[in-house]
Amino acid sequence: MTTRTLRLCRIAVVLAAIALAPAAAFAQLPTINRTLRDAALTAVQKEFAAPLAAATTDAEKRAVYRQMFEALMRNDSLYPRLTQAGYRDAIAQDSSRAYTGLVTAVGAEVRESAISPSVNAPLSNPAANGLIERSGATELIALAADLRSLFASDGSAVTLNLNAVALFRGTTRNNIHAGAQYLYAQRENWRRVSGSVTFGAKIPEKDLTGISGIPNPNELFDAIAWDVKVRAIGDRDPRASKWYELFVGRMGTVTELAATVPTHPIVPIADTGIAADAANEVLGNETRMAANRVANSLLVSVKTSGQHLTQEAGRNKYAVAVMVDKGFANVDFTANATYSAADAPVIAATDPFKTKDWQLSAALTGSVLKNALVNGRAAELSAAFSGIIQMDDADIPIDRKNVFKLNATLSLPLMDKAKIPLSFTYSNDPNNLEKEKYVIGQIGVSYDFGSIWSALK
Amino acid sequence: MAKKRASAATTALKAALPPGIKVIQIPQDAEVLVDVDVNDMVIPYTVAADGDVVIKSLVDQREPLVLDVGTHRLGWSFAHQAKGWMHRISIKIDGSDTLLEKRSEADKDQDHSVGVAFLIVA
Repeated sequence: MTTRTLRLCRIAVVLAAIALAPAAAFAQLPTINRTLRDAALTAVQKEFAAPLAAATTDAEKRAVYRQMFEALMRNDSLYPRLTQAGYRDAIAQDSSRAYTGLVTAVGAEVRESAISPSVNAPLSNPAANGLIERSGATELIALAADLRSLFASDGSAVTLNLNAVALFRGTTRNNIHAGAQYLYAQRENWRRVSGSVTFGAKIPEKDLTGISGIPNPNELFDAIAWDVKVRAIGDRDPRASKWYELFVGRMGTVTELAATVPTHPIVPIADTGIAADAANEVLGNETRMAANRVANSLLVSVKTSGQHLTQEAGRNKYAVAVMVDKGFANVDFTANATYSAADAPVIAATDPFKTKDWQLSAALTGSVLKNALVNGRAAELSAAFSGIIQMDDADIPIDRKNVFKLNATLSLPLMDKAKIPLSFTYSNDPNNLEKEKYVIGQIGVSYDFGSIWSALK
Repeated sequence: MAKKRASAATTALKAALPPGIKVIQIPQDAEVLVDVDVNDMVIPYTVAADGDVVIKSLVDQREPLVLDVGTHRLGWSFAHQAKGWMHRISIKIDGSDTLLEKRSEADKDQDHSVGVAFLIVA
């Protein structure tokens, strides 16, 4: 009897599954439960029956259908309730069922300044143009050259940026045609870690120690610099698992409703085109809102760095920095806080000592001239303010004053992933014996190999 | 005879619909496939027939359509967030390809689209 009951239960489950199957007969990702959707659609149709009947023109009908879509999207029961692991499994299964496919470069269709990674290392690279460092890092490998010598005599420097994920072999995908999110999910946590090495820099004494009140603060020294950076909070890459619920869950439901509702038997054949137009309008709004949510999300990174004079023993500078990025409307706000300690030179009649500084910087960055120079890319314009606050102990033999800098940088896009940053920095320096106030102009070039690497691996 | 009736239905439907909506005639026993090519997607696209999901995916897919005699509506919806996006949807009837829609960032198309086509099986 028990066995028979069990068998009947199994048959009932199979029959129920078959009954529900047509809605998802071929679907590769989880779909809306058809019973729920049809009930919601019927309710919405009932709610809007009078306005729809009263609508006499196509425009009026489209407005009503648009309200119907918006009402459907407010129905929480239509959205999937998957965990992060559930989304990951669904994406992996979808990729494994792909028919054909090419994997090409992925950037984000959000504003360029929002996803712009730091391919240089302004906080640790003494020759870098710009005062501010963004929280993001290169996807794989990037090179940046600072051609300061064009405007000043401080030489040039080259910075190699490396993401930790570049240390691994590309994900094996001989037997599958993987989707963008599936590939990004491989070693996703390693993508948080990046590092850079700057070589070829010649820096003046004052840039290392902050001491300009000495006879020759502009004497140049050969230096190398390094940093290790970890993105602690956030990810503005739309492929990241952080956004599964938004893109696969919410937006996937919106695209499903946009495709199913205009073709549903409940919509009169004569209204099919109008309903599709209304769905397209709603989908466009939802797509823009999703892009803005990614672009304006919070990013926080921490990094540690070192600068070393290669021809002077025992002359090092170490720093720890926190970087915060947050978007507002169409502008990105970036703030950096850096604590550093540097070995000062031996000055007559004193023992070696360390100078200690807090550097606090803030910047606003926006995208301008989209599609003007390179199709699909924009230039970035940023304005930054930075203050260097001396934290010396009482026994330091030199009295240093705080230094302030203003910077404007315009980064022009070049080809697919290159940039040419042009920057101008104004600085006061009350410590300088010559009491000079100066402006430095710099030009650089950077190339992020992420896209090429992705295409080749 | 059947073909004549289908042609009349197709003509009448085309006349009743706004321009731009395709009306495709399909022989009763034809093999029908929906074929979708995409570049990296982070938002799933959907292809639906008569309100039911045929494909919901992030990657390229090809699926058969099982259609009874009569008039059917095929709908699709795409939204893009990835750089270099592209999508192409077509219907293969006994191996013969009919393009339904092709959009791309390279062609400066809108980054989202909802489309419909009518399939008349007779």
